[in-house]
Amino acid sequence: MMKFLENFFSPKWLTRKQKVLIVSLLFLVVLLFPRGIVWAQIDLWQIGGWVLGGIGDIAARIAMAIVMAFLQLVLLAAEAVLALGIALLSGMLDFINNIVYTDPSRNDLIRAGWTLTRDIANIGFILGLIYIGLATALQWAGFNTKKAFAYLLIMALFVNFTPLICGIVVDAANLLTNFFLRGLTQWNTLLDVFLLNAAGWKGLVGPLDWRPMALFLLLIALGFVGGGILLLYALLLFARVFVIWILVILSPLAFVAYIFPTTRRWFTTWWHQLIQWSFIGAIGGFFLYLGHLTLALGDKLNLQESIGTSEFTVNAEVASVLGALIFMLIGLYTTLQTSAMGADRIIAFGKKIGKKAPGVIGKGGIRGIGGAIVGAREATEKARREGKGRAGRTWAGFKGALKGIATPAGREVGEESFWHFLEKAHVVSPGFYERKKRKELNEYVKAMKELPEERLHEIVKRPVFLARDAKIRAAAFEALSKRKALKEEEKRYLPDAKKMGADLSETFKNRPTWLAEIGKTAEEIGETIQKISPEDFRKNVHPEELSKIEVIINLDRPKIEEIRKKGSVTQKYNLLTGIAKNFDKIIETVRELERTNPEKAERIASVIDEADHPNFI
Amino acid sequence: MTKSIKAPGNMLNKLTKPQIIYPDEIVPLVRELLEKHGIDLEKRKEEIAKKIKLAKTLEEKVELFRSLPIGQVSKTIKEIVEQRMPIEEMSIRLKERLLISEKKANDLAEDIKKKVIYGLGLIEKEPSIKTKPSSKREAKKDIYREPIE
Repeated sequence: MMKFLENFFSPKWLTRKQKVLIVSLLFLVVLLFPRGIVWAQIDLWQIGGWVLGGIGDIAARIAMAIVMAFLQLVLLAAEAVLALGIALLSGMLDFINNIVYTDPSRNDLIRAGWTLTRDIANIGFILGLIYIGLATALQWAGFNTKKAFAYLLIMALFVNFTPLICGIVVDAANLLTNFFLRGLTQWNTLLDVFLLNAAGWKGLVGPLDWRPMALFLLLIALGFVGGGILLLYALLLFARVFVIWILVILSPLAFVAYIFPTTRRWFTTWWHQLIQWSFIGAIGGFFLYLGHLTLALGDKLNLQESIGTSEFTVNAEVASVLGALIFMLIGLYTTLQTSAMGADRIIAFGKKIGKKAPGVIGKGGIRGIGGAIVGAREATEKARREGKGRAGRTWAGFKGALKGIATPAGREVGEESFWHFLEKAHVVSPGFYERKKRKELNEYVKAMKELPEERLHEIVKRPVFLARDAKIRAAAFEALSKRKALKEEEKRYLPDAKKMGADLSETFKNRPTWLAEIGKTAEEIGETIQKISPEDFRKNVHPEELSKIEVIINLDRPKIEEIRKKGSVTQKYNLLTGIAKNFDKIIETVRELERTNPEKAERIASVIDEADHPNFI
Repeated sequence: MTKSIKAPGNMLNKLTKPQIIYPDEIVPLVRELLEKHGIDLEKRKEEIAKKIKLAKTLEEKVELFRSLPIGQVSKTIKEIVEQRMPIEEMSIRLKERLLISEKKANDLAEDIKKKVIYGLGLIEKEPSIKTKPSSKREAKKDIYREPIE
């Protein structure tokens, strides 16, 4: 064990960054390991079984473990959002229960405001009476004066009772809102549903099972959606207090407006707002209540015991959480449909998040999972090709999965595999993903066109955390490539730029040896160089490339003559110094080729001789 | 990672657009002549490659590379064509530069003169005697002196 630790922390094996990452990851996994699971519950025989028997799906298990660790973090965030929503809503319900909404005798603000508007309304009645009288006498009224007079009398009476009328509506709504939003017990119990995440980890042992991951994703959605709704309700209930106060204060004027047909629509608006704002929490709360009820009926709020038992089945858990989530989404939808004035401003924020969140979570999930799987698969395959043993392949798979999920380019590959799968299934048209990727990148490519070269170099070197950063880097890389201005040290960004969909056709004309970065063999690089015409080669090749042995051994007389006659001074210098610098290696290559490929050996020898042309000296 | 090589000033001057453009055939021709006179180019390359492997600086490597036979002959030809060396000194210079016997150097020099320097027209063999243009001019026709027929 000590030997292993010594090796692990030796400077040769891993870079410092990798070590920090691995140790942090292990720490996180241990820290975030689901609360409900007990280590003893995992059957050691099962673990032994798949370790010994299921080597074939090691990459899948590694990918799954990495994805689960990643999802565990997201789940923690979802749980935090739900906890915040619950805390705010519970606090808000306690706060609004002590508020006097409509009674002027117990609320100084309403008393002052309502008394003022009532006095104005009384002036309005007198003016209205005069107006009806004059209109009747002079016969210029465009409305039924008798009816208006009757309304005036009724409203003059009602105006003194408007707080009572408002009180009946608001109290009825409060009753329902409180009933639904108080929940079955306390909302805190909803947090217990997160104990189900233990089920997800169970998919790692025994027969390989991807279904628990669906449960993880549902719990994440439940946390964000549920938390979002509760937060929205807390905000709406807070705003509701002030809006209802204003509506009660304005109520005498609304009743006066009812008398005349032209002003009656003001009353209608006021009444509509009173109803909407009063019941705003009740309708959505009803569905939230149903969601809570679904979980309670499924007895999923008391899971501590059931997790370890045989009755615990993934399908049942998924069904109950899915049911709760659907009810919550309906609740969110109905709340978003409200026409309460001002509420739209508050819920606009919720709508914005609501529109983006599923996309972000869904896309992130697909990209992360896909990236981990593809990363693990490719790394394991590579390790197999390199003839590594079981432990080596497992470690390579682990690193590949980690890279796939942790880097934007790795996640992009995951998304690519997802779309290619849909393409094979005839769900999307061929090339859909490539078109989509290019369209997204084009926006950034346009922005890079105007930037000076130095800025582009700076952008390329910036650290990348999100997919957006990776796209910006790819666009800057493409812009530099088109300007033939890429530096040798920027070569390492090429694979990621390719994964992000950057157009690299110019890059390889300029820097043919960089083809190795995308997995091309020395032979393929040689063939590419040989296919380029001497003129194109001279026009496009970067001088630095001419000093590399990989390029020199693939040149021919026409190309070297072209450089000698029309090439830049730097091109000529780099070619000559490149030959001189690598002369011993070139001669070794020639000697080897004399046995295997005499024609190529002859070509290289003629290239070396051409370097001694008088115009090169 | 390959480091970028930047051309220093002294070499830049040599590689800027040359005043004399030497023909493409010069290198294959020189190679052929060297082989004809029994100079083992491949062996020389091997020797130089070994030395280059041991050389530490780029300057040393370039200098060693330039000591290859074809390069030495090209250098000599260039000096003669650009009149930095009289053509008569070629055999002595070749003897020194290629480390060959006097006889071999003389024979090689003769061949180079014949087939490369004069053969490719780098220098004219003998100063050509330009014949003066004939002073006889065709008598201009004077239409006014033509007999009226």
